[in-house]
Amino acid sequence: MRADRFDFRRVDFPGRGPLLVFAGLLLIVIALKQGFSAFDLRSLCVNAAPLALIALGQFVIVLGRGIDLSLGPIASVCGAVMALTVTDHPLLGIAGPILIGLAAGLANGLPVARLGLPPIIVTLATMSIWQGMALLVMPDPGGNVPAAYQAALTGGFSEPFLGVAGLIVFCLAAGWMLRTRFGLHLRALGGDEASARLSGVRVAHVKLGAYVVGGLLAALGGMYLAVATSSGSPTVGDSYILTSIAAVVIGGVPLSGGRGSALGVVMGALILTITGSLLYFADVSSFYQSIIDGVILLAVVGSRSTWDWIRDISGRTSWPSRTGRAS
Amino acid sequence: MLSLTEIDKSFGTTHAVKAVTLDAHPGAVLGLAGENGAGKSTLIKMVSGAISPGGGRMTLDGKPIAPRDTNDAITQGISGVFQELTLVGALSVEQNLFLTAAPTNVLGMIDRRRLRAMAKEVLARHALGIDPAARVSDLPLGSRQMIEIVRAIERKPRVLLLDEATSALGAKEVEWLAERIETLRRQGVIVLFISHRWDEVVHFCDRVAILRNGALVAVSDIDALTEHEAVRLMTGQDSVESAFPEKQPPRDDQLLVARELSSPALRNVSVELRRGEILGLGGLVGQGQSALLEGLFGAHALTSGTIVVAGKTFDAPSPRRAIAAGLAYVPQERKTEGLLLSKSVAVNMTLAVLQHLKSRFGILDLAAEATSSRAAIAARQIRTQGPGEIVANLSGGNQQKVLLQKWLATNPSILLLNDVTRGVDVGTKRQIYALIADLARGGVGVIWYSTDARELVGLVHRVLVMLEGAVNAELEGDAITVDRIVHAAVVGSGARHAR
Repeated sequence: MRADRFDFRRVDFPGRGPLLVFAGLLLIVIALKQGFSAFDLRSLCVNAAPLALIALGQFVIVLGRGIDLSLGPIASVCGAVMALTVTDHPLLGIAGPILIGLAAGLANGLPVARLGLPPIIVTLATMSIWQGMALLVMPDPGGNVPAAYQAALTGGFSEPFLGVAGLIVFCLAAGWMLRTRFGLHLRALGGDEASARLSGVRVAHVKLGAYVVGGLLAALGGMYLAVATSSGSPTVGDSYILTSIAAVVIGGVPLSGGRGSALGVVMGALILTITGSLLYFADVSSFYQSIIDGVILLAVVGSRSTWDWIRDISGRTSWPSRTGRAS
Repeated sequence: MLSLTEIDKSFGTTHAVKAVTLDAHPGAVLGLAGENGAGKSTLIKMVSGAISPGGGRMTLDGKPIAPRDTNDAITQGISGVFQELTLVGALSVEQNLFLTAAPTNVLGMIDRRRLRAMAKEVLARHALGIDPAARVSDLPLGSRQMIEIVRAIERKPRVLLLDEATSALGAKEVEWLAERIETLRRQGVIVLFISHRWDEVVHFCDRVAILRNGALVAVSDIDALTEHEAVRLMTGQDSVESAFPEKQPPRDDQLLVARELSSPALRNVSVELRRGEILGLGGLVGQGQSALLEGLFGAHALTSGTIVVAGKTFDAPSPRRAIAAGLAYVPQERKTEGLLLSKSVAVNMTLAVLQHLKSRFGILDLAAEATSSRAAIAARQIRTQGPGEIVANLSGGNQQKVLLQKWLATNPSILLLNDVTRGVDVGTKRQIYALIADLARGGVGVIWYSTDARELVGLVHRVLVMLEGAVNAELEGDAITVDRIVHAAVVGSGARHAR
């Protein structure tokens, strides 16, 4: 026994892997830039926050073995509606997008939960529908969100506090939800739908709930974007369609559902955001960002099976001479 | 009282349950016996709400019931344990036990401490030494089945349905269930019990209803019926000679010699197998029997030991090399490890021998596949509409025959069988016994792990009874009796040899 040696493998908590990857990337950025200012921290957090929100929505759906391609366009519509209305009708500008998000989630969830349609097809269709709706609502980028909202949500340009606090609150809120009975049922559903049903879990309700929560978080993500940029755009959410799935996977959640942590997903969002800064400070063209993101995604998905494989073949080659080890 | 009146069900052209009228009384255990396909499971599934009756009425304590689904049945006081386990493998024991009733705190979060305490209390009350925090998928099948039983009982049902609930339990665990059922009997619960093992029906039930081809052929007090009569009623045949074919002496040449195999699940196990020999593995569930079979097949990593197959040392074992060396392994969980349920009978039967199938330019000759499959279906008496039928539609016994055929198609010289008759009806069992005895007569060496001690007594030349990963006793010839096997499964340590 090596009790005297610190063994990091024993310090385990959900989301540890993505946290380490993010910490490593952050250290590289700090080394390249030789420092990290309050401004840098604020931009990192504020840039990552919309992705974190939408990815958490995706996470809740993936946890129950679903998937949602429409979250990005839902965010677009909600951000656009907010930018168009909030200046004149603050209440409508805030409540409207939230209601739209909930309704959009319901529209995704009902066909999946009640009719048993495959989620990837249903949300591929609604993705297209919401993309069209966004263009109808707001044909060109525009609208306005008063600066006071931005000050309240993100703080000033060199005040990192609100940005950081935002990410922590997202983690806590999502962590809370996973610990409720709904969260347990969601994991049961992702783990084994037939067993969950036979164990008395109301599978259709839980599925529907997941898509509604997903729609709500997408709406909040779109609103965060609108506030942070003081405007709306009909296509702003499109880039989140697949990055929200990537953030979930990089966050350590298998697409087959059943397990994962909110911390991991938020770290996934931060990782996909910090690669942009990394390239900027390394003086590499930003065209490389999506290549880097893709490599990270492959590395994360591949690392576990690669590790298993290495262990497997190293275990085999020494057979049968190796004597029994204590276990 | 639970009363079924003229309950009827058809699936397509199959008349699965024919106007069954039956009463089950409080504080008594009613057994449902019959061959596979006799309609026992279909009948019990209608009571459980899993399928809806095609006709007839059900009443519970005088009130009509018609459960919409299993959850609805649970709220009406009908709870069950079925052949398919329904625990979520990815969750812990405690989360599974209280999946829909987990205690929450003021924030709506699950109160882990209280959940742990509740789970500990329930497990202790039912005399189960299982860690409440363990992941269900890490537990052996027997433990999972016991948790499933506990969960059903903890719903405080008026009617408890047990459909092959003992299939993964060893002898000691069956006694455990007997104690649970005794308590329920005292509490006046109505228990319906399905088992393929007649001795268990006798052990657990007060009355038995016998079904054949979907129709009720007899209801009797258990004491008023001998096993002979019961089997005759179930099969409709008068000849109920021993289910086991005569044992042929094995030949002298060694097929397989394994020395001092060790792994986390095995302790210095040595095995020898001769041509034509059927070697049994016995003992309680999860004492290393599966690990041994998988170790020999290269599917379970061994930490030390040597395996010699037909004179050749077999190092770096892997299933691929094992198959090449003439080994075949029929796993226990036919649905997850053995069969592709959504594929056809033909695909499943030829999967292990695809490289030998005729092909042209790499495209498989499907006509040849169908022809050979048809021949195999006839030879193995598999009840199916044809090679194209999806395996999931077949009954359990017929699925098992498809699985056996998949491996027999490789013409193995050593056959490793992991409890292949679990959950299989008497008729199919008998066919499997005859088939294995035939293979042994032809020189194949068989290692057979069975949870049914009578099966070992009737079939094998030698038994290794395992306990905690080691061979606890070796019995040979006339020394193989149910009593000795059961005794060696729980008592003592150190290898003993009886002849």
